[in-house]
Amino acid sequence: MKKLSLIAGMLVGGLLFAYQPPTFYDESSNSKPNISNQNKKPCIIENNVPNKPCILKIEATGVGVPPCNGACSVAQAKVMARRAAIVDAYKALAEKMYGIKVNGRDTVKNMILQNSNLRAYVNGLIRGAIIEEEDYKNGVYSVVLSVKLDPNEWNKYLKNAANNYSY
Amino acid sequence: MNGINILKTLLIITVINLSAKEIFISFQYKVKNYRLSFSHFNCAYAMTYENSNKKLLFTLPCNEKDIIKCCNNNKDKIVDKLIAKKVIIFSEDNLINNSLNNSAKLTFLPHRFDIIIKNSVAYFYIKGE
Repeated sequence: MKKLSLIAGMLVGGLLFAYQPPTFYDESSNSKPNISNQNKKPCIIENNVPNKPCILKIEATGVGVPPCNGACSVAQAKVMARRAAIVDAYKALAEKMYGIKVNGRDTVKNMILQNSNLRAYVNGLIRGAIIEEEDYKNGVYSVVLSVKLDPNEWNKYLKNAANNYSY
Repeated sequence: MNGINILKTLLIITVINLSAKEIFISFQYKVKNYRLSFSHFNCAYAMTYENSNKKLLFTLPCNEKDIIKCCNNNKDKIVDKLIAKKVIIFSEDNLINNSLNNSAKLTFLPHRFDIIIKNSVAYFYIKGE
């Protein structure tokens, strides 16, 4: 009888020890709640068609350096580096969204390579991009830009653009 | 008779200019080999008045009464607000005989704004969207 009560006591004690009261998210605090990802299905894109309606977030990083000469102060140089980084980040974002067009040309004369030219370019319109992160370290300003888009709509737009584009 | 007509047209143009409070804002940045090589910001009165819908985009603290002066003094802040709106980017990398040249151009095309300065705050309304 004593053994049984001891085992029962240990079990109850163990259960009480393992039990944790549910924590509620306090909106005033900065800590974020732990959202379980069990119910969230990943957005998988197969053959250019997503498995469910979803919004994709595309991120791109750009870097910029201060000018060699022309800036009056360190602050101005930093601001110019930031602008350069933003433009570079937009370029990286456009490359991800629109792809890159590549033109290559090699000139050969008497079996000797005279000139080699490679041009990669992108031209696009970006709407609603936001700066996620920015940092200035070791003379390099880096900016992370992100944009949200619906893959269905974006694929339709790219198809139309490809049909209208003359090769 | 011709002189009177010219005077009339001049009068109409000045009246339009005085009544037009709408402003065009545009900017352009060029980057060469990861360095800012060119920047341009323009803020100018529109010649004609366009009666269209307007939407409040952002507000900025502004101590000047002159709208153009306020625009030019706060150009960095305006660019930061508008850069997320809609920009055109053109970039190219040229590899010529194994030496790389990188250039990128970011343009915010001229957009109409109705700017109202009230209690040292400038309200930027975008028009025609």
